[in-house]
Amino acid sequence: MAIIEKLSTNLYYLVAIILFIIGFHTMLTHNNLIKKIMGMNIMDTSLFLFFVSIGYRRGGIAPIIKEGIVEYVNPVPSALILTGIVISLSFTAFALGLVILLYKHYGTLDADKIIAMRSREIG
Amino acid sequence: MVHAPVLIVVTLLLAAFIVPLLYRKLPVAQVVFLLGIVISSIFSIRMAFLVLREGTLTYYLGGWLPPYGIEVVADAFGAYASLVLALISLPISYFVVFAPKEVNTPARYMALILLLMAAMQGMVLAGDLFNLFVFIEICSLSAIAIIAVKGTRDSIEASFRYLVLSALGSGGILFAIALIFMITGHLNMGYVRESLAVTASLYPLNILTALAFIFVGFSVKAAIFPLHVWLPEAHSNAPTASSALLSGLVVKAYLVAFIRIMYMVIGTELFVALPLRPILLILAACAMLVGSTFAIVQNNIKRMLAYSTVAQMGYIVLGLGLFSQRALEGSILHILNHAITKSLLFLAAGVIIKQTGTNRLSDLKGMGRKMPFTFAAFTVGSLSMVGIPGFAGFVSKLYLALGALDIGQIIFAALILVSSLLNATYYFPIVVNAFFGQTEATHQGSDPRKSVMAPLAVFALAVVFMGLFPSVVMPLVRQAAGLLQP
Repeated sequence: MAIIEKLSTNLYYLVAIILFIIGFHTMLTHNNLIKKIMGMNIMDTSLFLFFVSIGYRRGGIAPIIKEGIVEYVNPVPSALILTGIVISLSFTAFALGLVILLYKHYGTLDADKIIAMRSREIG
Repeated sequence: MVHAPVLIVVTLLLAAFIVPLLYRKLPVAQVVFLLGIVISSIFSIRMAFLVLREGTLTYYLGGWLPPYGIEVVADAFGAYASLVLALISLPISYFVVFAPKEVNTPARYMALILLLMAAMQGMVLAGDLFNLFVFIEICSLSAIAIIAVKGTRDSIEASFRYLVLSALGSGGILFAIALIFMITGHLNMGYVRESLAVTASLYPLNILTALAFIFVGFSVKAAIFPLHVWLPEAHSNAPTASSALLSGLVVKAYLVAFIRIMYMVIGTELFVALPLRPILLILAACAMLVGSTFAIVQNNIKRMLAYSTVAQMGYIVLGLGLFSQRALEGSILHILNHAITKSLLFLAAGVIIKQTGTNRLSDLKGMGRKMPFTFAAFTVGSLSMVGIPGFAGFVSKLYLALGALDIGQIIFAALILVSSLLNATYYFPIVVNAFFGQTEATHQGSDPRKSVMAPLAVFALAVVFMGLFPSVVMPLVRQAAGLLQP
């Protein structure tokens, strides 16, 4: 029971870690280049969730001081993650650009097939 | 307040935004590009002198004091790294402008190089964890872009692989920063360290996980064995100037950032207390042996140089693992010496490939007689890589070996010797065959014009100069090594 209680209070962290592992796994094991990029995005999103939930307080509001409110959310992680999202976006855009070029050159999105085509040419 | 630390980055960024706008007027763009690099280098040199004289410089962006404001810290180590970046980037950017074009969009290429330089300078001077992360990401993106800009199939495939692994590394680093922020509530490195002195023992699991992620994240980015798999492809398929920048500077900038996190955030006491040093030593030993062994079997000149970079990164990590004063000095000095030498070798290799039209080592027999100056430059680089006395590589290897002996680790001194012998087995045959190969040269080729040779000459002279007068930079190196010691 203690474990379940611990998990339920740290639910955001748990979900973030699960998403991180899903993203990590997709990125490394899938052959499809688009799926690799999706994995990258899932991983980044999990990190954003993790970061934002560090600053989150249940029932807290944005830190604009008002009367009668005692609970505020820490704004620093949210502000940082705004930058993180921009970085993740530019990585995704760049990766997709590279995938378009790879498809033009090889006619496939399968990483294994690309490697096979390359090694056939060398050998 | 001295503005030099922030002006280095701002100048480069400003030039990076102006250059692509001038794509119709290429000569103007080239002038802006060179101006940006030169001016920021002047700031960097000035900062190094200031740090040497007055100690650590700090700069508060917008005048906001930490922990709320963003801090830029130029300590001896950061100033030294910034100086290395500035000095190496000067001849390379000259090469970018004056060498025959390898890319179709020169203005964009120059902008990417400026962006890369700005990111690296920012990375070695950042005093704030999240800023460090942002600069790491900019650096990753622009480093990948200067490979892909070549536009060939191989370079695009290599850069995609680099991108995937690099994204994994960034994810690890961001996760580690989140874990550290979670228990300290700060992002400013100085404050995090103060807070960790108390909280590290309260939340050991957090700090261990964070360390593991930092270690893996930076291992990918700095190509520390066994996470170097992307490096040979990426560095060998890039345009010449990019290869020199990537092998000479980018991997080192990441390593510098890693070292700074270790002593500015985690703290040297904790670094020594945890079993990180044995891991670093083992990885370094593997990198030195495996990197060299792979380099021996390569027939592509640039791939060979790329594998040699893996081995040479091993030396730098080895000094960090040994952690005695002289080993650290050797390690820090090797950052500069290897940057000079490998930039020289990659530029020479690029010129050789351009002039002869072949990248196979077996085709270079007798070519030394046709292009004597280029191969002379290559020879100087090879001698330095192997560690012949009188050349730059010797000094740093000597310091490393002495540092190993200082703490009684004879086996690592022997390892440096063995690895140097391995280096000799792949560098010397090229030089010997090029000059004394009996067969007639099979390919056409001659030395390029003087303006292309100039950066090679500068690097070759620098290699000899650093071999004969290492004492020029030693005061700064000594201070930097002193910072790392507990």
